[in-house]
Amino acid sequence: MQFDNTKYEFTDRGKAGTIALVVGVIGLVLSAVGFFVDRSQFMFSWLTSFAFWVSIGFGGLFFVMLHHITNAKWSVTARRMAENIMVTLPWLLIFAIPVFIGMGDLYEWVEIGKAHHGEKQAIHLDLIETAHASEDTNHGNTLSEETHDSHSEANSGHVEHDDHAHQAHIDLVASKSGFLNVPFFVIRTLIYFAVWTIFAFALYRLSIKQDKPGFTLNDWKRFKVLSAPGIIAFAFTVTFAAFDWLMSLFPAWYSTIYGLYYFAGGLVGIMAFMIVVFVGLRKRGILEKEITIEHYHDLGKLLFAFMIVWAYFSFSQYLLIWYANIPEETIYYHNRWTGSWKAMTLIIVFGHFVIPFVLLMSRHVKRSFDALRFFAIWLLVMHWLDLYWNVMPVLHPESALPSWLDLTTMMGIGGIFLFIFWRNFTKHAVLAFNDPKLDESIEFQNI
Amino acid sequence: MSVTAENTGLVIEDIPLVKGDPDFHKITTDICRISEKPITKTPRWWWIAFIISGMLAMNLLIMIGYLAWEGVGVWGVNIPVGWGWAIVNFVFWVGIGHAGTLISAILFLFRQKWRTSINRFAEAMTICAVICAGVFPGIHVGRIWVAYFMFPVPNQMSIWPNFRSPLLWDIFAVGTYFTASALFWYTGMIPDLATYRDRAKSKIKKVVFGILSLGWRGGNRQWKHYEVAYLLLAGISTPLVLSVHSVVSTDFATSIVPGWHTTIFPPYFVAGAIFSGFAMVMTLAILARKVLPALQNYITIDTLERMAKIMMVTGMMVGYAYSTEFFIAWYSGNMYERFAFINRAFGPYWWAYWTMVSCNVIIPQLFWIRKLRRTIPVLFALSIFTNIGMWFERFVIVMSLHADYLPSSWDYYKPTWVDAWTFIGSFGLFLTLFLLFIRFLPVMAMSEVKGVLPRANPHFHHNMPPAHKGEA
Repeated sequence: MQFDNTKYEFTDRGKAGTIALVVGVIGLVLSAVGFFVDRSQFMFSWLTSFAFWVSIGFGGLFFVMLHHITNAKWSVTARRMAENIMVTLPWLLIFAIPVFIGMGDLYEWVEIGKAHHGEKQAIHLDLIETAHASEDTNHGNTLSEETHDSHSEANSGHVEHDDHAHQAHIDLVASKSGFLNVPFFVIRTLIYFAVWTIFAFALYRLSIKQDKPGFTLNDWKRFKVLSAPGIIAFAFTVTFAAFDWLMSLFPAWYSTIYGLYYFAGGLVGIMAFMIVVFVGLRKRGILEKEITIEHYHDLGKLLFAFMIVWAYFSFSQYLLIWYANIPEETIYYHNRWTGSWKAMTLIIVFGHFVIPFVLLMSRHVKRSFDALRFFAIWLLVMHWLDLYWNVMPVLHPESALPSWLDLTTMMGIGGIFLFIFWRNFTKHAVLAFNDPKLDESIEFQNI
Repeated sequence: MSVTAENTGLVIEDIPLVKGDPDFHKITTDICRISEKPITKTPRWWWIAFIISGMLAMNLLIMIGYLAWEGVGVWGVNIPVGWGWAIVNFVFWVGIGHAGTLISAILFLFRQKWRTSINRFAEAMTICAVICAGVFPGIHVGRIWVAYFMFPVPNQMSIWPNFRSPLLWDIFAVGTYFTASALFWYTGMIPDLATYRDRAKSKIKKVVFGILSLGWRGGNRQWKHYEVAYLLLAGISTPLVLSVHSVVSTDFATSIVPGWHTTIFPPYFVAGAIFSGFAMVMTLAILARKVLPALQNYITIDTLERMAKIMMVTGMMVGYAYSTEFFIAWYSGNMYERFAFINRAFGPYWWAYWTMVSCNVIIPQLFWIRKLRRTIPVLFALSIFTNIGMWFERFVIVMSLHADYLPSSWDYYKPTWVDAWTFIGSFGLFLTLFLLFIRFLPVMAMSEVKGVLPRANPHFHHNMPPAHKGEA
C-alpha cells in the first residue's frame, strides 16, 4: 500500500481489498452451503448480517448529509470516508435477494398471509353457495378482516383456549396483510435502496467534482440542496426498513420508536467504523496531519453521544412497555428474558451502554488512538449483538444458539462490503482537499 | 475569516456573527445602557407591558385563590376528561423552557457560536417558563394545602408518594431542571454581573452586583476555572434537555390509554419541546429587537434565520412522530388504538387536531423559502403559529381521554372561564418575570459575544495569513 501525500491518493492499493474480497467470497461460499444444510438458520444469520452492514452504509449517508446541512467544518477531513461508505449502499441491495428468497422462513406473516388469502377465496365461494345461511356471520368477520374482537371470542367459545389464542394471533397478523405481503415488502425494500442510491450517488458525484477545477459556488450550494430533502427521505426509509426487516419478524408486536432505535444503532456503527479505519490508516502514516487528534476527539464524542442516544431510545421502549405491562407488548422482552437470552440481554445493557458510558466519557480515552479504537471495535461488536438479539429469538425462542453461519454471513457480506468500500476509497483522493473549509477543519482545536 | 481553496479558488465567506463591527467597549455600553437607566427614565413601553402583564399575573393568583376556595369544580374537568388544561399548560410551559437549555448547553457543545447573542435571554425564558409550569401541578391537586404531599417528605404517618408514579418523577425532573438551569444561567452571568458592578454608580448597585459577581476580577486563572465550570454545566444540562421532557411524556405514555401509550413519546416530546421553545425564543427575540434597537446588531437576521431552520427541523421531527404514530396505530391491529387516532383526526376534536397539524407541520414548511426565513413579519407570524400549534398538540393528546373504553361515559370537554383566565394569567406571570429580567440584568451575554468576535482572535491585529495545509 502506497500513498501520495501531496495528492491524497493511493498510488498502490495494497492487499487490503484483495484480502477483503477473498474473505468475502469464502464467507459467501460457506454461507451458501449453509443455505442448503440449515436453511432457516442461514436466513436469520443472513438477515442479522445484512441489517448490520446496511446500517453502517446508511450511517455514512446520514453523516454526510448532516455534515452539509449543519455547515460543519471540523468534519471536512472525515467526509470523504463517510462518502465512500455510503456509496456501498446500492451494492448491498444484492444481499437483499436472499432475504427476498427466504422470506417464508423469516417472516411468519408470509405463510399466514398466503393461508389467509386462500381462506378468503374459499370463504367467498362458501358464501356464494350458502348465501343465506345464518352460520356465515362467523366467517363474515374474517372476510371483513376484523381482528380478534369480542365477537369472534364469543362465537368461538367452544374452541380450546390455545387454539383460540392461536387463531386470534393469526387473525391479527392476517389483518395486517395490506402492508405485510410479499410483493409490497419487496417493492418497499427496492424503494429504500432507490432513495438511498439517488442521494448517495448525487452527493458522491458532487464531492468528486470538487477535487477538480471548475467547482462553482452553485455546486457547493447543491450539497445542501440535496441533503435537506435527503435527510427527510432518509428518516422515513430507515424507519420503514426497520419496521419491515426487523420488527415484522414478530408481526403481532409493534413499537413506534423501533425505527429510531435501528437508526441510532446505525449511527453508533458508522462512528465506530470510521474510527477503526482512520486509526488503521494512521498506523500506516496516512492522513496523519489531516485527521488530527482533535478529529478523533470529536469522532469519539459523537460515538459516545450516539451510543447514549441508542440507550435512550432502547430504554424509552423498555420503560414504557414494562410499565404498561400489556402482554402483546411485553412478549418482546419476555422472549429475551428466557434461557440464555437473559444473559445476552444483560451483556447488551452493560456492554452497549453502562461500561462504554463510564469509560468513553473520559477525555483521555477519546484522545488515545488505541483506547478509542478499542471502544470503537467494542461498540461495533455490540451493535451486531444488538441486531442479533433482535432477530434471533424468533428462530431460537428457548435460548441463544450460536451458529457458524452467524460468522460466515458476517464474513460474506462484510468482506464484499469492505472490498467495495476499499475500491471506492482508493480510487479518488481520500480527502476533499479542495473544500473551502478544509483549512479550518485541520486547524480547529477542542478547548 | 475566509480561507481560499487551492485549485478552484472557491471562497465561502463565514456569515459575520455580529453586524457593524463593534469593538468590545461598544458591546458593553450597548447592553449595559439598557438596564443602567435610572428608574425615572424607564421607557414607556416597559411600563405599559409590565403593568398589563403584572395585572394578568395578579389575575392568575386570583384564579388560584378561587380554585382553592371553590375546588376543582370550577374547571371544566370531569369524568372521563379528568385532566384538562392544567396538564396541557404544564407540558406547554415546560416545553417552552427546553429551547433555552438547548441553546445554552447543546449548541455550546456543538460549537455553534451564533448562540451567544440569544443564549442569555433564552435561558432567562427557560427559568420563567419553568416557574409557570411549576404552578400547574401544584394547583391541579384539588386540595392545595396538601400539595407538599407530592414531595417525598417524611411525615408522621410514614406515608410516601408512589415512587413508581410518573407524577413523582416529574417533581424530581422539573426540580432538577430548574436547579441546573438556574445555576447555569447564573454561572454564565458572573462576568457580566462584574461588568455591571464595575460600572455601577450608586452604592446599592455596587453592593448588590458586587455580591452577585462573587468577586470576579477577570483574571486568567478565574477565566480558566470559569470555562471548565461552564463546560461541565453544559455537559450536565445536555442530558436534562432530553430527560425532563421524556419524563413529562411518561405522564401519558405509561398509562394504558389508546393514543397515549406509545414508545416514541419520549423523543417525540423532546422534539416538540425544542420546537415550541424555539418559537417562543423567536417571538421574544423579535419583540426585543423592536423595543431595544441596540440588539439588532447582535441578534442579526442571520441568527433569526438559523433559528427558523431549527424550528423547521424540529417541526418535521414532530411531523415524523405524528405520522409514525398514525401508521403504527393501524399496524398494531388494535381496534382501540385505531379508533383513538381516527377519532383524533375526524372525531369531535378534529378542529384541534388539524390546527395542530397545520401549525406544526404544514405552515413551517414555508421556511424552505429563504426569503421568508429572512422576513421578520413572517418569522414573527410563524413563531406565533407554532406556539399555538404546540399548545394544541398537548390539548389533542389530553383529549384522547374524552372517549375512553366505556362509550356511555364519553363526553365533550369544555373549559370554563376559570381555565381560560388561569392560562392567560400564566402568560402574565411569564412576561412579568421576563420584563424584570430585561430591565435589571444583562439581556445578552456580553462576555460571550466578545469572545466570538474576530477581534477576540489573538492574531487579529497581526493580519494572520491563512495557514496552508502544507505547513500544518
